[in-house]
Amino acid sequence: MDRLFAACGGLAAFFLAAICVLVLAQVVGRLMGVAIPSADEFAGYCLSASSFLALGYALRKNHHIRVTLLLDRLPRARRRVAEALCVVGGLAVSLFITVNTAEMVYYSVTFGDLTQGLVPIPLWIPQSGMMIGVTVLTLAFLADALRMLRGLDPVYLSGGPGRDTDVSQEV
Amino acid sequence: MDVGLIGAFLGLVLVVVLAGGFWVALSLFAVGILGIAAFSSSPPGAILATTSWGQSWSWSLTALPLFIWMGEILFRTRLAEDMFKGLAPWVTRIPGRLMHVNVVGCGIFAAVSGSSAATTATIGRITIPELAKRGYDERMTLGTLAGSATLGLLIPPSIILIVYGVAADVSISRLFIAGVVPGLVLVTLFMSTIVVWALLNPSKVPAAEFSMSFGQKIMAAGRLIPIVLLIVGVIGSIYLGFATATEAAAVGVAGALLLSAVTGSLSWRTFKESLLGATGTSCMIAFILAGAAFLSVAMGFTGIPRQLAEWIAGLQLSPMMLLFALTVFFAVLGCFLDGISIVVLTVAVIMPMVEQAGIDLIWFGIYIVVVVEMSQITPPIGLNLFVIQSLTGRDLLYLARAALPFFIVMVVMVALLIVFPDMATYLPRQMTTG
Amino acid sequence: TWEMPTPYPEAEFHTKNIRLFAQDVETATGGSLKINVHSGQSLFKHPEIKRAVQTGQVQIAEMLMANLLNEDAIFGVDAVPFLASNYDEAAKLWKAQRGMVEARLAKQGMRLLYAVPWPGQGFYTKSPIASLADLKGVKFRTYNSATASMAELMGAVPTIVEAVEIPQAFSTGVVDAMVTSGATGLRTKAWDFASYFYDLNAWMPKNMVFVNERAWRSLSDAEREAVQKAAAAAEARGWTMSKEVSDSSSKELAAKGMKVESGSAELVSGLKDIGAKMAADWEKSAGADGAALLKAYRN
Ligand code: NA
Ligand code: NA
Repeated sequence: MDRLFAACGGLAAFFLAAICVLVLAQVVGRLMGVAIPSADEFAGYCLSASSFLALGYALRKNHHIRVTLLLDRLPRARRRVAEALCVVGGLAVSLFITVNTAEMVYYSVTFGDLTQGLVPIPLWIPQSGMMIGVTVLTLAFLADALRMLRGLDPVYLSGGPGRDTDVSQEV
Repeated sequence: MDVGLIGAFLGLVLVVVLAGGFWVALSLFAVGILGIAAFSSSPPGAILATTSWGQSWSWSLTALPLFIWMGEILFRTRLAEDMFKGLAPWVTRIPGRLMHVNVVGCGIFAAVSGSSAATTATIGRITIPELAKRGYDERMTLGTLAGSATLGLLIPPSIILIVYGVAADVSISRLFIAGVVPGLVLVTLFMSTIVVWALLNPSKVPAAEFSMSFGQKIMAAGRLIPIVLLIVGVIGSIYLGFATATEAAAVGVAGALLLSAVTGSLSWRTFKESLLGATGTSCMIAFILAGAAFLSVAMGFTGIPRQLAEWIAGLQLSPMMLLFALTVFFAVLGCFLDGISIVVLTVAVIMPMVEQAGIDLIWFGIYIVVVVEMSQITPPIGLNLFVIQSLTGRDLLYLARAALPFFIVMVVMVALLIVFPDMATYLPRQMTTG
Repeated sequence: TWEMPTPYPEAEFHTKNIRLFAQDVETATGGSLKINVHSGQSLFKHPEIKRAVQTGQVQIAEMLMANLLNEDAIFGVDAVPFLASNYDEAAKLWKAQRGMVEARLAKQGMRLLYAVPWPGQGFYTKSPIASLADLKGVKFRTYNSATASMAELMGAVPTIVEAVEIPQAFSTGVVDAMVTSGATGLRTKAWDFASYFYDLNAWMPKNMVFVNERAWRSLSDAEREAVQKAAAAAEARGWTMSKEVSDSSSKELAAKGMKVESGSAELVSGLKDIGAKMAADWEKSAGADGAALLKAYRN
């Protein structure tokens, strides 16, 4: 399971680097008098893929922002109840997003929609990055919900913000 | 049901959900779903998917992760530390000392980056650890950073000025020029705030580490050369016509990689860590922006912002009172929405009022950006606060309190803009054809 | 109540026309059908607008017809350069095209209400253009496949710059020339960054207003009739507005200090050759319907 989230995180990082390469190619191409067709559009699709594919990875690393001021003051038992509510809520909302994204991609396939830029490609291809990303986020919440049923703490609680860097230790 | 009541109800739900520790992005989605499902007859799910998708691949946002990546590279190599040590001797005699590096650093970086989130992430990565190491007051450090990073919006290039220019039909080049002087005034105001604070709280500012002769300062400034090269390269690529404002971010990443390779501080490990760090942070921001875009569309479906604006229009206020009412309106809206959503959502309804009141549209663009800057540091939805939270793990409300003095400075800035409109309108007036 | 997203800002004549259309519908139905117009992509971004109508997220919308030309070349005939270069020709072309557009939209569960052309497209440049030779190597801002291949055929360098970045791209030399209508040049204050406007009427792309078929069926007969009447009125009014804007914008651009020219005979004939090549290419990509459309238009 952990490998799935890490792999998606790595893929997201790859797409982030791809944005940079595409944009640079466009700049260099223009200097040499060559237009790279749809470079800006594809950079946008890479951005979308990067943002969504990282969702599950970012949740487990606790990158996603929340306000814990009140939660931190709760006694341990109540804190667990509150975290359980959050995980269930997160599962519900991310499932809702996933189902509707699936429907959107399904329509893109059945309508045969194409992208509107210079290089037409089937719309479902760039949209599938979003589809996979929100599905993985749902799985991440599901995994945490199952952990809580077994009496464990959700994974995101152990990966604090900045804890994979040294910033928080220095502050 | 009255739209005011619906708006208040949705706002309350958002606050409760956020206070309960629910993730910010998911809270925005949840309240948007509730808004559409309860107060319109449209399908929330399909709208959610379409808007999130549409928001996620917008070209002007591609610059955001790239600037964040550039900041990560600077932070993980020696370049950031060098920039800090190069700037430090020059501000160490001013009351507040190295705290000013925050403001100056943000001001310089704002000339490169078009967003305040990227400015916060980059400068914060550099200054937060360095200032903490030297014993500077944490709260003031973070407050200064939150405040001055908003300069990214006002000092050109600026994503939000582009958005306003398109929505309001105003020349973007004139808007960019118009932002320069107010941006510098705001830098001065921020620095003055630090000076006043330092004079009132001398115990919270550590003693100067060193006193340097002028020659030594120049030597120290030598450490600035790489970072200055980078900034000159990025700004130069825009103004020499190699790259557009959005593309400049990629130039910045390439430059940062090149410089850190040349100075020998780039390794495969730092490369990988910088890229993964940037991926996590920009994913968090992009998800919040997607949620904000959806919430703002949901508000559009419920008709709340339109009817509120129409209500203000119905009051037939004098220009002065109109600006006062709008400032309050934007400040309240700014608590719950991000800057770009506010502009896109309201400009169409507010522009006619503003034009009718005889207010200059270029001036109004600068005014709206300063007001939107305020929204970056007000809870519960304040993008700069989120970025600093992800850098430090500090809680949102603590950060909001830390940033409060700078919120007040921006209110003062709005007042100054109203009293001295030439601040924004003088330079664009000098622009001629060609 | 219908929600109506549109891509262009409030000040654009298309949006003003839509506001009047919405008002007409509301008056004619005695308020039983109200249309909330959301201008300037404030509800959906331009590329997502069609999907939003098709799946019933909104009931009605406006979009640039030629944006669908990847899907079917028929939508893009009004983007073929120098095929129709005045309002009479544009009207004739629309007459030949209309039924085919209606049929294609109907197949996807949508119904066309009306379409209004943009004023003719012209070139904005920093330096004067006397003939095609002057366009050689010029960095030419293009925004779709048709404009890109036109730039290539002219010997210019097709350059992609987002619409919002145009002013800065011009003033810093990222681009030297672009093609758009006089109205858009006026709205984006082209005199800030370009010196010459060649009013070539190269082509006149159309915006279309269309509805979701299910939403349409859920109206009463009286309401449908009211909408159709208002749409016919909006179409007629829109074409007139477009003509007025076309006339006045050239004058206003000149008043702002731009040199407005209609293009030398040499330039125009060179461009017409390119147009003929592109029309032939278009016909190939559009199949039998494309041939029929051109035949109907040229008769
Ligand atoms: Na900026
Ligand atoms: Na806020």
